[in-house]
Formats: sequence, structure tokens, C-alpha cells
Amino acid sequence: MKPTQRTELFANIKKTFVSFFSILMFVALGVGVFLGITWAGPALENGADSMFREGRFHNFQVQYLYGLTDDDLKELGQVEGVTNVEGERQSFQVLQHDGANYTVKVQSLGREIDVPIVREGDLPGKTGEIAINAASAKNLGLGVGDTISFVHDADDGSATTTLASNADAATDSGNTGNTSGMKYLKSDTFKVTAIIDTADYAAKSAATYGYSNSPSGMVDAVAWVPDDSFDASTFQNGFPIVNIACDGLAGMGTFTDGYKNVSSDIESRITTVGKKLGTARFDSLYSQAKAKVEEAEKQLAEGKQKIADGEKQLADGKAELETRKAEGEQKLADGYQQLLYYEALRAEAEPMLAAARAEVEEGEAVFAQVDAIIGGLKAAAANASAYAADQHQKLKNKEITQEQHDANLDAYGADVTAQLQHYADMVGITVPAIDHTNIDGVIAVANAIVDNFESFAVEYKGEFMTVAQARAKLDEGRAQLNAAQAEYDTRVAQLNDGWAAYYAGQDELNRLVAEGEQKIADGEKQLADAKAFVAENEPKVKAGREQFDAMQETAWAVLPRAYNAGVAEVSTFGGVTRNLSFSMAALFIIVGLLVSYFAVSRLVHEQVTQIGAKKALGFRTGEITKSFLWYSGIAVLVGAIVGTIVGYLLVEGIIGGVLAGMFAFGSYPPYFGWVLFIVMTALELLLILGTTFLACRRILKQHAVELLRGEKPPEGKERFYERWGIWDKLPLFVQTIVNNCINDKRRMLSTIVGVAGSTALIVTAITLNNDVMKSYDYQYGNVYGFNAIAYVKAEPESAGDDVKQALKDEGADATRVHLKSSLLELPGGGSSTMRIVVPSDEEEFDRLYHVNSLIGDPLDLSRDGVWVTQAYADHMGAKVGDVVTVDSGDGVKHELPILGFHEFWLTYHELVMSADCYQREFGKDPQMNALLVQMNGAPVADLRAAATKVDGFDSIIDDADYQYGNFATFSSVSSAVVAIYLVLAALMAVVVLLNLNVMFIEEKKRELIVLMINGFSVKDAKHYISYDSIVLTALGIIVGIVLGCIMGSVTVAAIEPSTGVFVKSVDLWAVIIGVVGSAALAVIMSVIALRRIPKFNLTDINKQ
Amino acid sequence: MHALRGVTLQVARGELLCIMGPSGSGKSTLMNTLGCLDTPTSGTYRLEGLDVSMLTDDELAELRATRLGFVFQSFNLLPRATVLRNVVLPLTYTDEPRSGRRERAAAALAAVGLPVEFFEHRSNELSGGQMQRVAIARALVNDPAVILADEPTGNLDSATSNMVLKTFSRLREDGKTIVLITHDPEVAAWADRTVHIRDGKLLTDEEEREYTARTGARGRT
Repeated sequence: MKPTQRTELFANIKKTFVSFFSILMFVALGVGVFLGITWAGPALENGADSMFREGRFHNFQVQYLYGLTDDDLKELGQVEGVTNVEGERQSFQVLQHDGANYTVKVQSLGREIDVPIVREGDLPGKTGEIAINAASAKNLGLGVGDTISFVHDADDGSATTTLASNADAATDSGNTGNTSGMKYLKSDTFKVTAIIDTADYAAKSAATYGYSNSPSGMVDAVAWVPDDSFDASTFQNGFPIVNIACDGLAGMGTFTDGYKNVSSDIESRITTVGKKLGTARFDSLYSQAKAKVEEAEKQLAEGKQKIADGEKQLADGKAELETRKAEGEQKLADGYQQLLYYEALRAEAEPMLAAARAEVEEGEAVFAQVDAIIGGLKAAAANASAYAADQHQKLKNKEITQEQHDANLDAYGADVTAQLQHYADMVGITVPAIDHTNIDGVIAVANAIVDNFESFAVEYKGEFMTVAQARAKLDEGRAQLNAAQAEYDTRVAQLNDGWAAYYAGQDELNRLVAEGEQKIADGEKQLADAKAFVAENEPKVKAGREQFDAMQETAWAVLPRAYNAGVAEVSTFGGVTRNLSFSMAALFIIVGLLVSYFAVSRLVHEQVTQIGAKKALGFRTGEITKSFLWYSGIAVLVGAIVGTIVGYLLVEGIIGGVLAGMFAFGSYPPYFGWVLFIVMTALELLLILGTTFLACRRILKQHAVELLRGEKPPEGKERFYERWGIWDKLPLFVQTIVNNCINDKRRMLSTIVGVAGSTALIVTAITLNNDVMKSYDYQYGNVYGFNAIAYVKAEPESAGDDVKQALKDEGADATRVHLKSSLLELPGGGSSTMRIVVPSDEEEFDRLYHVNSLIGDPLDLSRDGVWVTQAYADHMGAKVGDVVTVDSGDGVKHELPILGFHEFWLTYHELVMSADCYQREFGKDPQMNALLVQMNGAPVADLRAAATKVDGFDSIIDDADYQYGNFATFSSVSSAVVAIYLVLAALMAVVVLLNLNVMFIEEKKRELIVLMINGFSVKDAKHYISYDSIVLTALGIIVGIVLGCIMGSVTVAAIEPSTGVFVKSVDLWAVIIGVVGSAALAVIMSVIALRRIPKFNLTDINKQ
Repeated sequence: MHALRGVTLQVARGELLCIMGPSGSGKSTLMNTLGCLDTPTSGTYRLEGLDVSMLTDDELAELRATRLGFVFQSFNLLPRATVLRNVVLPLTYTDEPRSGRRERAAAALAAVGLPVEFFEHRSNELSGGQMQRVAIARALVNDPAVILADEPTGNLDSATSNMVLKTFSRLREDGKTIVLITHDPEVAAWADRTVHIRDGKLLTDEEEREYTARTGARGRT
């Protein structure tokens, strides 16, 4: 470019800076928004890849129902492309925390693959230590140092080993010895030592954690323990999951086509190896299981036989006991009778003996008395004799006088008399008084009595005899009595012995009977225990047999990274942003083209005379055109650079900020792609230069002389509407407005397009925001009549009905259903989450779940087939009559005919079928493991408290609240885009409307000055000029609303995940806000532009 | 630099005054001042006894709407509006009812001798003379006291110029005060009085003759 041309170019730019800037701005907006939103996807993917590298994310994961052995791992390591192989174990545990149950997926820590990224604390190093996923820790309120304990049911040790996301329980059917169920971990109590993230859980949402076999099917948290915390024997010493790393894929981005191609080759090699190893493993386990089942059956049969024998022995023992008891009782009875006889004899002998004793004792008493008398007499006589002798001697000796002698003897005789009277009284005799006169005689008599007493005659038992004879008789009687007494005593003693023996015999009999009964009771108890043991284990053996019979060989599931839920989430949002960017870019490119066309054509019209002069001076058309192309080209280049910077820094930053919160890798750097930048810039250049060329062409075709005359005023033909009678009746300003609009089509189109674009952006933004959340409202208004889901365990059988009643007692309404999460195979490959719903009671179900069939037949549970969500038809192109392939975790693919597609607004597929259809297809009755609950205003905490008291209750979740959270998360991404749209709407208004208004006022300046000179006030002039704008704005708003509604639907469709549909409707609020917003922006821009009018210098009328 | 210096001028009611001067002499500035399009930096301008320097912009606009009429060299009609619409335009924001506005516009057009059949033509379909007459009619429609015409015949041929000047003369006879700017003595000959302006100053006829004799600048602008 020559220097003069360059100078002229920059002078032009300076002179028409508003036009130049408007082109620049639109290019910047189009490029910036497109690149910014488009690059948000790769930026997110790069962020994910960064985490994948840091966490040494597996490239493949092999899942196999029967587990892979160490030898399998070695063989896998030999596959071409495979660098490292590591086994992983997994178990689902139930954690009770803050009054609720949470299903925790516990995995073994990766050592070389899927290694933890420590956020806090130290990795667990031994059994009893555990690390928790950061998002899970936050949700559950757990931290380093906390202790957690897992709980188990009485019969079911823990949940099951699983194949991560899609397998049913793999119970050890042969392990009949473990009556407490299967526990996959060596410990139930763990101390949290670390908070970590891993690459295989890149997304924070718990919905990406996979599925469990808890009644709810959900996984609430993920945790890791060292591998030796698992009981390897319960995994049959195999690994249900194996992670594989391939160095050849290490440098590639996960989401690139190159990665997919290389990965696909390795995957096919692994699959080939898997076929062989899987078969070998299956065969091995099959044989082991067969042996165990047969052994268990054999032991069961033996046990039953022993029970039968024992029953017989017990019966015999009982019979013998009865017999012996009867015999003993009979003997006792006989002995008792004998004892009674002897008791009778004793009773006879006792009184006789007593009488005899009494007689003898009486006699002895008499003799005792007599002997006492005789003894006393003898003693008295002796004493008296001695005394008398003494007195006599004294008298003789003259020691005493006769009187003294007599007195003494009298006194003594009185004493003796008294003494003797005492004895005489015993026999009724009166003793004469003894004095000195007779004392010697008395003494002599007394002595004579004493000496001859034995020969005295007495009457004894009616016989007369001497005392000695009587005494002898008495002695004889005494002897007889003693003998009789002795005999009696002996007999009595014998009788007592007999009684003692009787009682002893009775006790002994009782003891023996009791002993015998106890033995029988013990025997019965043992028998009962044995029966109970058989009863308890027979079903297990039977179940083991059934499970063994059901064992089927399945293939390895070789899952590349794309199957990882976190990776899928990244892909989803990457796709959403890409889809959004196209719709945005289209709008800005179209509006930008129009704006640049009008701006350049205005520029050309303004320079008509100059162009004519240049042509007259010999400038070729091409050279003149080039200057305008340079003008536009520079605007495009600068705009593209500015837009790229804005897109890179601002737009990506906004979107990245929202997305970062959804993933564990957090914030990540923005992405810049040279290719897309160059392509977009080139496209804008091409389009804008093309419109520039078109804008110039008409003028530049004219000859120099025509151009020098200046632009001819357009011919003032009378237009058709001016012939209408009503035209004359219209006010002048209306006519002026209409004519201005018709006459200045460029301005009219520009304004309409500008306002329409601004309005469309606002309507699209609000529609996007509202339609996503409206989908939630539709779901819980039109489809779901329930807002909570309760889960019950398989046992007891009445759990479901009991929980239902408990909930009803709290005012809730509920119906029982089978609810199971499964994988739906997609027609184009890959799989998607899906939930199977099987009602138990059709009428109740219809009250709480409205299957509104949109395509196909209405719900008819008597038919064999399924009703699938509308998304399956919309996104997969499925039709009524096609089949849907379901993998319910049993390794078998089930193809179910589609009878209809029903209204459904959540972001996963749901499939409704009858219980009969389920039974026919899956070979078993559906377990009614859940209840759909309408809380009717009751707080979920109250319902939980009531249901917790019911045996078999597992959990209840506020499903409406849970889904709202999911929608809010999704909506947060669209909200960022909404914010961008609204800012852009304002920018578009500023750039387009302000620019246009300013240009229009400048064009009309002379006219306005004339009017003001002719008496229009500034206010009048503003009114005159702004009526046009009001009409054009109104037209632009109408067009913008239509465009916005269409764009809104297109944009909502663009962000729909492949598993769901969002409401795409005309949103009244979007329209209202669009109208109000655009009108406000238009008014503001108009007001700003109209501020030029008071600054007009009326003397400029004199300038040509 | 002063566009006007020490200008004192009185214009009588019903007078056709002509202001002559070369280019840059200040005649447009003087016209702008007379037309309340500009305000003098010093001095006083009274229109019918009213000191316009005390008026606000809206009052000046009101004044221009009711007391002044303007006719320009380049007509300054709205090209896409009809003749009648152009003439009605100044009445848009007045209290005149709509039917009355058309009548007044028609009367103004009749006053300048434009046939009725031209009323619905667009202004750019007319000849120069016709456009100028429409411009004059527009200036008259509000029945102003003073009509200011800046080189009204500048873009017209002589025959058309005569026609326009006759119009002005008729209006003067109807009692309108007309102030013309021209550089053409033939136009000035139609005036009751001609003032000369050079370098911002008004000259008398004698001063003008002396100047022209001295410099040989006669009839040049």
C-alpha cells in the first residue's frame, strides 16, 4: 500500500471511527464468543487430562464377574501396547452417619495406576485406615482423624462384590460355613487418614460413582483402603476389576481421535486375550463351585439322616423313661403300704408300752419313796443312835446332866420326829413324838424296820408278797419293759429306716425321672438345633445350587476411558459448550455481516464525490475497492485479535469457572487453538470482505461523472399506500416515520436487525435458563406424582408393606415398585444409565407416576413390552417396535420391544414395564425394593424417623430435592452462558443501536436544523427523530422475539444431554424480559444519541 | 476575530431590506443573528421590541416558529415529503388543528403562486423556482413578521429568480418585512433599501461607492 493510501485509510478510519468500531466490535463479539465458548470444551478436556496424568488414570478397565487371577494379570501385561496392569478390589459398605445410611464404595488403593492425589492427610497404610474422596468427605462432613464404622445385616455380611457399575452380587455359594454372611473387608472400623481425589472420579457428582446393590442402587461416597484390608479369599483370590495403563496412550489427549484410534486397537487385543482367560477362569470356578455345592448337599443329606436317627432314639428313650418311672412308682407304692402297716403296729404298741412304763415307773416311784423313807429312817436312826449314844456317854461321863441329857434328847427327838414325819407323810403315817424316853426304842424300832424292811409283806399288782419279792417283780417288770422298749425302739428305728428308705427311694425315682427327662429335653433341643441348622442351611445350599446352576460364562468387559462416568461428564459438557458456540456465532456473524454491509455502504455513499474524483483522476475500480477492503480487513483483523483475547481470557474464564466447580481437578488454564483462530478469522475476513465488496460494487460501477454529480436523490414516486384514503388522515409524523422507514431501508434493516439481535439474545438467554429448570417443573408436575423414594430390603417379606403403612400413618401416600438402575445399550455404541420401573399395583402406580405416552400406545401393563423415555426416540431415532437392549448386571443382554415413548424430563432414561414382562424376560419376579412416595408436605426427616422403626427399611430420599440439585448444577453451566448472552445483548445494543442512532441523527442533521430553524424546539426535534426509532425498535423486538424463541429452542436442544430432553417452549417471561430489556436498551441508546441534537449549531445550515 | 463589528441596524416593518457584501463579509452572521440562530457576543438585538438575548433556546424556537420565516439558497426542503407536507411541517408542534394546518399550508402555497396540482408532488420533483416558492410558502405558513432569505435566487436562473423576487415583492406589499442577503445587484434593486457589509461592518452607499472605486471590487463576492 502506498503511503498516501495508508494515510487516507487511517484518516477514513478516524473520520468514521464509529462505523469502523462497529465492524470491529461485531467481529470481536462473534469471534470472541465462538472461540471462547468453543475453547471452553478443550480447556475442560485439557484440565481433565492434566488430572488424568497426575493420577495415572487407567487407559482400560477390565471388569469380570468371576475375577481375574494374578496369572491373568501377568498374561494381560504381555498384550501388545499394555505397559502396566493392576488388580483392584471393591466392596459396598453401609455407613451409618448422622442418623442416615450411606452406601460407600470401598476400593483398594492404586499403587501404580489410578493413584491417589492427596488433598489432606496421609495415605492409609494398614488395615483400619481409610482415605475418602474429597467430594464425598465434604458431602458427609467427614475429615482426617474421624472414625467410621460400617454396619452389616445379620445374615448378609456386607453388600456384595461388584463389577463396579453394572453387576449383581457374586456371592460365594460354596462358603456354607460362614453363616454370618460375606464380609469383604477384614475390619469394619476405620480411621480416616486422608482426603484424596483420583482420576477415575474426576466429576464431583455422586451420580458418577456408579451403582451398588443397596436397595436404592446408589453410591453415596467413595473410599479407598490398602488392598490387604480386603479378605482376598472372599474374592476367590481374584480381582473383579483390573486397571491397565498403556504408555503409548500417555501423551495423547483422552478426547482426541488419535487416542480413540490407538485405544481401539489395544482394546480389541485385550478383548481377544480376555475371551481365552475368561473361559479358563470360569471353568476353574465352575469346578470349584460344583465340588462345594455337591459336598454341601452331601453333608446336608447326612445331617438329615442323623436327625432321623436321633428322632428315633429320642422316642425310644422317652418310652423307656416312662416304663422305668412306672416301675419305680409301683415299688414305692408297695413300700408305702408296708410302712403304713408297721406304723399301725407302732401305733398299737406305743400306748401299751407307755402304760407298762407308767406302771413300772409308778412301782419304781413307790419303791423309791419307800427306799427314801427307809434310807431316811436309817439315817435318822443312825444319827439318833449316835446322838443318843453320845448323850448317854456324856451323861455317863457327867459331862452333861440328866436334865441336859433329857432335854437334849427331847430336842433331838423332836427333830428326828419331824424328820421322820416327813417320811411318814409319804406313806400316810403319823410318827409319835420322840423324846428321851423313847428315843432308844425308836431307834431300835427304826433299825428293826430298816433291817427287816425287805421282808415286809406288800400288795403288788393284786398279789401279796414281800417287799423284796415285789422289788424283784418290779425289776423284772422293768427288765421286760426295757426289753419291750428296746424291741420297740428297734422296730421303730426299722420303721424310720423304712420311711427314710421310702423317701430316699422317692427322691431317687424323682431324680432319675428328672435326669431322664432332662436327657430327653437335651436330646430334643439338640434335635431341634440340628433341624434348625438344616432348615437354615438347606435354603442356602439350595440357593447355592441354584446359583451354581445359573452360573454362566460371561465375557470380560473391557472398558476404555470413555466409559468412565467422569470422562463422560467432561465429554458431555464439552459437547454442550461446542453446541452453544455455534448458535451464538451464527447470530453474531449474521448481524455482523449486516452491520458491516451497512457501515461500508454508508461510508461509500458519503464518499461518492471523492470516489468520482478518484475515478476521474484515473484510479481503477479495483484500487478504490481495495481501500474499502483494507478498511474492513483491518477492522476484522483487529476485531479477531480483540475477540480472541476476550474469548480466551473472559469467556473461557466465565465458563471455566462454572465448570471447574463440578470437577475434582478444579480450575484449569484456558485453551488456545491456532487452527480455529485462523479459521474463524479467515471466515470473518471472507464474509466481511465479501459484504464490503458487495456494498461498494453498485456505486463503483457508475461512471466518474455520475459520481461527481453527487448521489442522486431517489425518485419520489408516490407509493401505493399513499393512495389509500386513510393515508391522508394519518398524522404527519406517522407518515414521516413510514416514509423514512421505507425510504431508508438500510437504516431500517440495520435497526431492526440490531434490536432483533439484542432481543433474541435476551430471549434466548432467559429461555435457556428457564427451560432447563422448567423441565424439572414439568417432570414433577406432569409425570411424577411422587417426590420421594423409599428403599426396603429383601427381608423380611413384609418390609415393603410395613414401610408403606408407616409412611401412610405419617400422611404420605406410597406405592410399591421395583426400581433398578441398569445400563442401556445405545444403538450407536456405548451405554447409558437407565432405570427400570415395575409397578406392583397399577392403580396406585398411575396415581403417583403418570406414564404419558407421547408416541405409540398408552401404558398397558397387560402387554409384553416397555415404555421408554422420549429422549430415546429424540436422540437415538428409535421407533415403536424397535428393541431396547438392557444389561441388568447379570451379564446377559435383554432385548425388550418398545411399545411407546413417554414424557420424561430428567437426564436419564427410565423404562416402565409390567411385572409379568419382567418375569418373562429376566426369569424371576421383580423384587419390589422401593416405594414411590408423595410426602404430602410431611418432612422427609419425619418419614424417615417413622420408617426406621420398621424392620427391613433401608433409606428414603427426597427425590425432588435431589433432582433439583442435579438440574441446578446443569443450570449453573447454562447460567454462565446466559450471563454472557445478556452482556452481549447489551453490547450489541450499544454497538448497533447507538451507532445507528448516531448515524441517523447525523444524516438527518441538516433536516433537523431546518426544522429547528422553522420553529421546532429541541424537544420537538427529538420527538421528530425518535418516532422512527420507536417504530423500528418495536419491529425489531417482534422479530427478535420470534428469532429468540427459535434460537432458544435450538440452544436448549444443543445443550440437551443425549439421555434427556429439556422443555423447549416459548417462555413468557423470556418474551417479557426480552421486550422490556430491548426496549430499555433501545431507549437508553436513543437518549444517548439524541443528546447530540441540542449541540447542533443552527448556523451550520449555511454549510453545503 | 469578529464576524460583525459595531453593526447597528434598524429594519422597519414592511421593509424589503437587502444586505449585500462579499464572501466572508459577515452577512450570513448578521442573518443568523437576525434569525435568532446565533447570539451576538455583545450588543443587543430586539425583534419587535423583544430583547432576544434574554430568551431561552425554547423561547427562541418559539420565536422562530411564530415571528420569523427562513428561505435558503439551497431550499432545504424534505426531498421525500410532498409539497404540502413540507409547508405543513413548521405547524406540527403548534396548537393548530390538523385540518387547519392543511388549509394554512394551501393558503401559503397559493400566496406564492404554486398551483394546487403540485401540492402532492414530492419536492424533488419540482423545478428550482418551484422549490424556492415552496420554501417561501413554508416560511410564510406561520404568518411570521419577518422573512429572512439567504441568497434565495442563488441557485436559480434569471427568469425563476424574477419570479421569486416578485413573490417577495408581493409579500412586502402584504406587510411582511423581508431581509434578503444577496451579492447580486439585480436582486438588490428590488429592495427598498440596501445595506452593504464589509469585514463585519455596515457601510453606507457612499462608503460603498468609495470602496468599490478604490478597489475596483464591484459586484464581486
